[in-house]
Amino acid sequence: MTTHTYTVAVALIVIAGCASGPTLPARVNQVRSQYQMALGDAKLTQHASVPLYEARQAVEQMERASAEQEDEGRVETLAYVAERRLQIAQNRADQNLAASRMTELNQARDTLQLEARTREVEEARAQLAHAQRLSKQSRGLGARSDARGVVLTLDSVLFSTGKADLKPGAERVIERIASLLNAYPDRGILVEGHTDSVGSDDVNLALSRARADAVARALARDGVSADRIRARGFGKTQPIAGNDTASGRQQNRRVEIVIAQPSAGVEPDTQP
Amino acid sequence: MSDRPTHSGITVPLLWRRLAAASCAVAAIGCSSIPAPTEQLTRAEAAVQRAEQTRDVESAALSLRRAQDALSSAQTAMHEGDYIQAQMQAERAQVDAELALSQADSTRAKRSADDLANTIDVMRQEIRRVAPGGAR
Repeated sequence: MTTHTYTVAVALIVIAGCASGPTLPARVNQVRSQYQMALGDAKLTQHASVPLYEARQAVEQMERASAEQEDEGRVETLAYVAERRLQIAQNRADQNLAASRMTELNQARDTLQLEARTREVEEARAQLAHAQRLSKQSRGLGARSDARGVVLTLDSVLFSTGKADLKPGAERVIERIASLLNAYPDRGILVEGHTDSVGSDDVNLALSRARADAVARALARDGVSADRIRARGFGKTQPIAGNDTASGRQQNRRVEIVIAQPSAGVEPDTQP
Repeated sequence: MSDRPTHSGITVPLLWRRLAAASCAVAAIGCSSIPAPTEQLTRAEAAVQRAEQTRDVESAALSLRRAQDALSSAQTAMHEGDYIQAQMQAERAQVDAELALSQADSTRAKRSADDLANTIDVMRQEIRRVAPGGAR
């Protein structure tokens, strides 16, 4: 009796299996149409061909399992995998598009940097030419450029001997320098005082600072915004000539005005 | 020739028993007889580990979590000898891990491009800037 019941049950299951056709047909159709939509998406076919191929393999595996009437758990798992493969294709396409955009942006940035650098170089050239014209017009004013930018040198003849005060005749020179500085309002300005090696360090340092401050104040009076200017004194620590001759010492006693070059990394606050 | 039973001499009850045995064997093959999916599990473990170690995986947290859960189910099923379940869960774990990785990669690539675009905008503004008193 029991054996008979069992046999009938098995027969019913086998018949049911044979009669029911493919497993989870609706689910399989759903995933297949997702795949067909993906095939029509140029973004995916162009930028995710390999993930799309892998998705196709997953779809085919799902369809085979469904046609061969494998059980629902198996077919559902394969449908799940195929769906995920399609999402992966989307992500990879997005990633590749972002990477292409990145390449274009990098080129745009390089172009901009080159433009900025070119403009800076041209501007520095114009500054130097302007400074050299002023130098020719003004006694006691030198012009050159170094890595920091264009450098104007005020000779000590513009100062009262041993004092920080600018001589009355220096006003005209300061005025001309101010007009040059105001032509480049976004540049930082360093005003740096120096002395020769005669006398004590303390006195030299104090004098170099006082002269730099005097120049900074005079520039501010002539309309140069004070927050662009950083004044410093270096005493005798940075000679530009030997201190053993009168003319060497004369050159060392000076105030330098530097029009800072942005790309030279000169920040007024980080100067020694 | 002799009185040994021939094939035609098999009794009906014996035939039934043989058929029953055969159908059991078929049922067994269909339900539980696949080899242990060791290789698939190893692949899934490697994929989950890769996804866990990728940078910025927060953007793919849900997929990663699904992958980890499926991997853990696969390992349990493997331990219990339910190879079919182990195989299916390992397949899910692997594909979810790959999905998490692709999400993280694409999010990162998009963010890098957006950041660079912003940097370029700032550079353009800087270049156009002619306002006086602009030194730091």
